[in-house]
Amino acid sequence: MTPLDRVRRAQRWLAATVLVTALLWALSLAMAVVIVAVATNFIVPLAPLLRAAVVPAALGAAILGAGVILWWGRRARSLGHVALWVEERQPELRYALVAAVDPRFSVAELSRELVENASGADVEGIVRRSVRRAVGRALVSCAIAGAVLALLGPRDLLRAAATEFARRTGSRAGAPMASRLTPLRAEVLPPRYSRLPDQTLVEPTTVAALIGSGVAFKGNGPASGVTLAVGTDVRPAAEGTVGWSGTLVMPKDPAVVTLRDRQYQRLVVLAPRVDSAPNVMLRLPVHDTTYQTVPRGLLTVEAGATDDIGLAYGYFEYLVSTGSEESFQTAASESPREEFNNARSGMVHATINLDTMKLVPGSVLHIRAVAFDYNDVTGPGKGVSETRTLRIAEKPDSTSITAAPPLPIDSMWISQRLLNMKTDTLIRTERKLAHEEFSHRSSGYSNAQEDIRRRVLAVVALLEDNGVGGSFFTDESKLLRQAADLMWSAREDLGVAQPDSAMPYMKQALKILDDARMAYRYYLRGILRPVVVNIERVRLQGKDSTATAPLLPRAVPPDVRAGLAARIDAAVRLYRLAPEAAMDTLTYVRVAALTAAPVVAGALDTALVALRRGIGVDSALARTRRLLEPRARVIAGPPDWQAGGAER
Amino acid sequence: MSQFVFATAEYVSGDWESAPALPENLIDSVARYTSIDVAPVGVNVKLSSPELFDYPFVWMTGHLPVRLTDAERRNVKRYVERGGFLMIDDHNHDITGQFHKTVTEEIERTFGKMTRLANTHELYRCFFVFENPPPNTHHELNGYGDDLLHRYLDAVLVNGRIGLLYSNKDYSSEWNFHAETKKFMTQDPTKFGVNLIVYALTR
Repeated sequence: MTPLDRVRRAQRWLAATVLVTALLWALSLAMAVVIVAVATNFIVPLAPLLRAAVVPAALGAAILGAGVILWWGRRARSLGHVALWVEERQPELRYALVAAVDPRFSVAELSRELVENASGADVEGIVRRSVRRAVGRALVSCAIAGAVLALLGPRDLLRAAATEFARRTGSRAGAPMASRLTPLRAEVLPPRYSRLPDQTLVEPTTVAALIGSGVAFKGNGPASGVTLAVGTDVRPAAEGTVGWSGTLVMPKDPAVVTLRDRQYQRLVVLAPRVDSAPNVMLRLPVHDTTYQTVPRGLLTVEAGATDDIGLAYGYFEYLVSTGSEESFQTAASESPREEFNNARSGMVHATINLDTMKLVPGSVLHIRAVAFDYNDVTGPGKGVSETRTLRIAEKPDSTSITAAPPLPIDSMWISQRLLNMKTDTLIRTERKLAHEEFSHRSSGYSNAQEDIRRRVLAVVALLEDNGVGGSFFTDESKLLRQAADLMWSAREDLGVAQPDSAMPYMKQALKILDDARMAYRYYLRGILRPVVVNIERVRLQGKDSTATAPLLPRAVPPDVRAGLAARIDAAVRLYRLAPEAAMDTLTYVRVAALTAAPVVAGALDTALVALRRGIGVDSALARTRRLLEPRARVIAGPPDWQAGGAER
Repeated sequence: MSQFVFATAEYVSGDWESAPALPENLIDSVARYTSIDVAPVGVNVKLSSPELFDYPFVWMTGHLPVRLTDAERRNVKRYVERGGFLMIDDHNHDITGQFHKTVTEEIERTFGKMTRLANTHELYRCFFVFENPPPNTHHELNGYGDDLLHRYLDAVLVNGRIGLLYSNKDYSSEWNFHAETKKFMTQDPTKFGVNLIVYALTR
């Protein structure tokens, strides 16, 4: 390869390097301008004019940078300059290379020594090092700028800057500014107590969030002239970090936000989500209880609690009331709090020391569990469990508690058991006894059996007394009546000295009494025995005069569903003439339905999406309308047919 | 037309039977002043039972704390929302008392906050006309309870109609006497009870 060929190749490499570095430096400088803009915007939001200047400034910086590099590298176009550039970096060539590439001389005309000298030039090495250095610097600066930019996240600013730039250049051309309500984003910031993540909705039609959440609507362009209205509350948008921004707080009731920009309007539904109060379930004690004597010792209580967001703490409430009528005392106390630390479910445990509750006969102890959530916006949400009531029976009977059958049944069971044992002994000793003695004892047992039977019937009467002179059967009384019947048969057999025959009846009766004794504990709370009023005697005997006000018909409450149906029908009629207006109407209907008919609200949401897309509109609207139709009446059977009637 | 039967609410907690003579007295008054076909004897009805819906007017009272069971709460809510009239009277006439605290908590838990009934409400003129309603009782300033004259009654309104009426005036004590005693009185204190029943039956 001749020195000329080598220099030509070096020239091509150098030209390519100039181009590449020009591009890289242009990119670096453009990124540097954006970095400065983003950083400044973080500190002080850029004015719209400055924001619009970001894109041209970056482009200008890029062009300037590329121009400087190209200017510096302009000599790469000349072969002689390339040779000289090599000579500068290898002076020992003593212009041999410059002379070797001089077009005025051919190789044959050059001295052998000069050609050898030129051939010894390290052209490739010099070019390689130079290219590596130049491209390396450009690449490093480009990488640094890119990394910084990636950290700063310039997308929003660039989008806003491009929009602003386009708007300003467009307006100069006389074109109207586009709607600043598209694109639209809604950033939802749930209340801090909920610990839910922030959420960004793109082109929202509905924002569903917890009551008290911050909802920030954001769009491109300047804020001037953009407003947000909820009902009569109209507020202007503010300049955001990029574009305009307007913040609302999620209200307690569903509402529509109307975003306006000159002739443009956009509706967004605010669908508040309620933070439910905790749900508390008392697990121990399982049932209400009445104690015959004042209970002592420890009582374990336990409850479970759940919440949709997170529980804060829970405890048990105790309420002891003692006394009656207008002289009674109550004492309330609580168990230590149990922290849940935002868990969605948890258990509350406690142990009540009944000895410290100052319980006496007649006391009533109410126990219930309480749990709170962290809701500091509309709450705190308080959930309470069902209450367990523990009563201590009074002696003698009070108006509040009357101890009834348990003791008689116990006593009857013992008597019957004793009688059965005696009868059994009598049967086994029959051969040893004289007939008279045997008959005499059997007869005595018959009387004892009758005595027990009467006691059973007395309890039956007590159970079946409805308090006003009538009677009714209960499951318990039926059981005891059955035992009484068996005792009657046993009594008859014992009366004729046939204890063998009586024994099966007696065993059966004992089993029934045992079942009743084990299965039931009757504590009949105060029976209010109504007094019969002699209506005929007092009818219209009152002396006080009356001045009765006229009876006016009660106002019929409006049929909410029918109202919704009428509004939907009107919107559908409007749809053919003004689709946008119809969609706005349906948005308002949807807000009303969120409270009155949530299922219809869901269907309306689907219908609105279909309307915007123009797909499946009819079926979506028909489904919504069907949901509002009155339910079909269910008739138990075919109507009575009156035979013999003439057709009309 | 079926007969009106006076019903006393029976609930699991507390002393629901604390005014035993009141039903007889109000039945007597209804017969004495109106032509309503009234049953000569009242009934006790459990708040959790389906029989509650057989009675358009139910009286509930007590001194002791009231904690409704879930079944009672559900049933009472349905009863009031479907046209029943539940009258709850604080037998302690004490807004700091346990009956008041617990029963109002139960009402708010079931129905939300109660409405203060305007003293121009038609309840006070639907049969007898009361000039300074609600009518006071002799028990309000008897040294027990809160010793206050309670100026208003509270209510749960269902479509504008009273579904639940709550009173701290202690009508349970005022009307808890044998009906025969009325002949010794110059003014019959149970007249407001007639208004309650007439309202429940006609509005």
